[in-house]
Amino acid sequence: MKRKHNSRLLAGFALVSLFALLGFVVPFFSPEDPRVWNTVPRNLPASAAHLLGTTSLGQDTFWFLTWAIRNSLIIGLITAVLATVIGLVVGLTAGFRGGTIDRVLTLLMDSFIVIPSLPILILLASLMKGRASIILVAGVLVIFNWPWPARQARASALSLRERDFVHTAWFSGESPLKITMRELLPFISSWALGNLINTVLVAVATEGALAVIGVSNQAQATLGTMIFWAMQHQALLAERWLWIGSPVVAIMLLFIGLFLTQTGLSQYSATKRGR
Amino acid sequence: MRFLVFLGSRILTFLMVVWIGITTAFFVPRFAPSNPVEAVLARLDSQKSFQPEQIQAMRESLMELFGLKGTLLQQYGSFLKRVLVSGDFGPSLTVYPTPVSTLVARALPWSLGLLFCSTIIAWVLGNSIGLIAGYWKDRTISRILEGTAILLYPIPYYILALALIILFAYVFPIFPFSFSAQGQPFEWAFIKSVIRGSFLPALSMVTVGLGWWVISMKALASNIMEEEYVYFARLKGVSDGGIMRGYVLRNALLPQVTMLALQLGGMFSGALLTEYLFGYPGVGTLIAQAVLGSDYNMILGTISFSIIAVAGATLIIDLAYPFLDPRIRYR
Amino acid sequence: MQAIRDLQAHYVTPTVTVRAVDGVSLDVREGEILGIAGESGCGKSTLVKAMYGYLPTPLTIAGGSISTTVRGPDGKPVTIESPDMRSIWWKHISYIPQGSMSVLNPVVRVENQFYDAVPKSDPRRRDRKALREQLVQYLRELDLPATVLKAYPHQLSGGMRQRVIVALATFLHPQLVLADEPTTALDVVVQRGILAMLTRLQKKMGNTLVIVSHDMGVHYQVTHRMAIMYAGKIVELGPTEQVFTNPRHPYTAMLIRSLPRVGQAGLREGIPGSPPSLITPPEGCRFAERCPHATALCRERVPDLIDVNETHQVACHLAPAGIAGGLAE
Repeated sequence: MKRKHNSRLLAGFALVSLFALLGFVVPFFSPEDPRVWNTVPRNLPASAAHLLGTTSLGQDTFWFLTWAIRNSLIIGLITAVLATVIGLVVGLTAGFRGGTIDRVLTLLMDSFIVIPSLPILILLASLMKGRASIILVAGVLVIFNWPWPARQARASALSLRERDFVHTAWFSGESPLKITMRELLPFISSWALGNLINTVLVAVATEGALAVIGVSNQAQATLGTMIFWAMQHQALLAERWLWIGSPVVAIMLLFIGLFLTQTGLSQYSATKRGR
Repeated sequence: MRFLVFLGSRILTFLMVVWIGITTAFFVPRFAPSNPVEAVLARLDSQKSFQPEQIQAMRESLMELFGLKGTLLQQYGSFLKRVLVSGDFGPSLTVYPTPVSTLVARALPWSLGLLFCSTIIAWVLGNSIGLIAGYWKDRTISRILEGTAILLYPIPYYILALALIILFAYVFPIFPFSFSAQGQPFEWAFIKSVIRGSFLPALSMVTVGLGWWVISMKALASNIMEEEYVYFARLKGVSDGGIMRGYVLRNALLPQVTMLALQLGGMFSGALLTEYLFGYPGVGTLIAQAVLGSDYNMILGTISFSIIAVAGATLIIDLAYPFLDPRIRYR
Repeated sequence: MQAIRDLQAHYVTPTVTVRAVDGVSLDVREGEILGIAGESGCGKSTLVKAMYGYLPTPLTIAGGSISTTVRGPDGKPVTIESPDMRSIWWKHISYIPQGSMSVLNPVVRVENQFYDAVPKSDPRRRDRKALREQLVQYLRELDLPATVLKAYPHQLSGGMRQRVIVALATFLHPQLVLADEPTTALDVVVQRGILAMLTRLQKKMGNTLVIVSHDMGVHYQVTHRMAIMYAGKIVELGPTEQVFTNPRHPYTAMLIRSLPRVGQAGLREGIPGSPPSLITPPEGCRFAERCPHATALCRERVPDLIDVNETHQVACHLAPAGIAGGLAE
């Protein structure tokens, strides 16, 4: 049994680390800004000088890919961190306070979960029409991703509220904030981290979806915009597999890695609790 | 009494969702840097030339739709009335003068068909596979099934769609890379071309959708296998098949139905992009075209419609659940 | 009815083997109520599972045999060897498991849970209507209203549920009924009801009833004969009356002494210490560590079951000398 969850976590972690490397370390070595057009000859096949060939816009595919990975990861991380923090605060408040506040917040949470986010995101993004910075795109994504951690936080708060050690802390006069931080955090962190990783996945996927239609920031390099530009230049018809294939494969591997890490983590914490 | 409270809260959620969605649609044009109406009209005018009266009529319509006439409250009121009561979003700006509602109505059956079929197939197939994986959870077959599901689940719908397009439309050109229905409706040639064209989009949706159902069902099934009543059923001599059907499946299906409601939003978003990538004539392609062509009427119309549709479907499933769970039905 | 000879039923895992039942020989006689008593972990539940023929991994029969003789469809006796007893499950021998509160499927009506217990070969399976009528009749005899059939388990009270489960286990009129802790976790009133139900049925149908319980009081009230188990072995076996008035094994004596008696004041005595490991059992008598009368012989050699008289047997080196006998008043 032990070997099983270790292998998931290990595999996931390996994949994610690979991408972290590709996204945060490798881009520092790129010769110039790979977004600039016509810095290299167009449509070259893979070679030693250009690991994945070049695009129809005269960019080096490999370096563009690493920048794209970096930006996608940044968007994912910013969104995930913000959404998780907001979600935790809202969820814990709802769970602890109870009463009307809880009911209102829960209504809000449930509504946002049901709304199909993509159409609204498309609407919002389409009006910012390619001028939105990465930060803004991330901000927009946060709006739709805070309910999931919030729901779980609320459930945790509801169950923990009644536990003795919380009562003890409460009656010994500790402030609610301190109670939250000290007593509850260990319980929450087990699924919060998993939630965070999942949100990274969702955020990157959503940005990618927006980019593929063309409503994300087209000037920036993200995995989604890479696909967008490739499709704009008929990469499929012209059989430029490397240009359109590499971001597709990258997304697949990155997501599988993130997912494995997330489930590996939850299996790990389950066995730690002695399930 | 309890049921009424439940009913009330669900309907409230539904209304809330619709309200948030529509209101967002109402406020969005205000974020545009310049007067959106003029920008739209200018663009239209450069593409086709219109009579001054037509331009004025469109200006009126656009101003009303974008909520730019009158006080804020009046604007909001008339916007809501137009959208919710008459479903009138005005003419499409890219396919002038066809009304948006007509275009949506035309695209709707395609989307419904694709979404409905792929959701049902993914749900049924995924749950069946998950049931088998959970029932025999210590055997290799279970691990293989679950492993495959794990590889499929995280992939976004559109990525798999792209991968399938690359594989089966270009590398091995079996299927058309873009949807085109030939012939008249309900002729054999028509049906054949529809099936051929829908195959890849449906496959892409089903494959990704499967992942989640397999994983969640396996978890549910393997938990249920530990329950006392399954143990007792074995003692009674009930066969494997009988236990799977009557004991494990019946108990596992209930949470899976609620889960279906939660997944609808996600599946719809996935279908949206998949349709666009395949050129499938559904609401998704409509939205994408609207966005690319800055057809604000269409954008507002399709998006408002999508929100109402998904929220409505979720509501229906939510309401159906108590009737399926005897513990709630008989109290 | 059932002949158990030197049964070894172990839980075998790659790392350890737990010898839960380690050499048990016992005869279950037709028409009797046999009790199996002992503290938790002594192996009585495992024994009864083996008797039923329910051996989920890692439980295996590592040695010995169980032969079950039932009356076949034509009235002639048929003997089945463990562990292939599936063919007679429920129709000839049934099992009421421990902790039966959650033993009913929550989303299926009670009547369907009766139906799926009928073996496929039985013609009644096809004729639902006839079966239903039989069921209603049967339930009436057990003081259960016919409305119970259409109900879902959560609609029934705890006591009713328990009686439904007893009905489930007996409606096919099996010749041997095994009940594992049928009264545990129930309040005393319901306990009495269940025991009364089981015994009334036994009297009426003449089946054999085996009751496993750590509660000596239950055995005293209901059983004809009883076996005391300790650490995987039977240490005493005999008619209940005799075992209670004249226990020949120190363990039995201590068990009985720990029962409260009307009119007696003063502290009840527990038994100090805990049972030995079943993974690496000790060399000699397994009770030697806790036994106040243990000798060197006891610690070296495992005592066999020897006859005290025609019906009473005990496994203790000191039994012939009558050391452990009698109840402290």
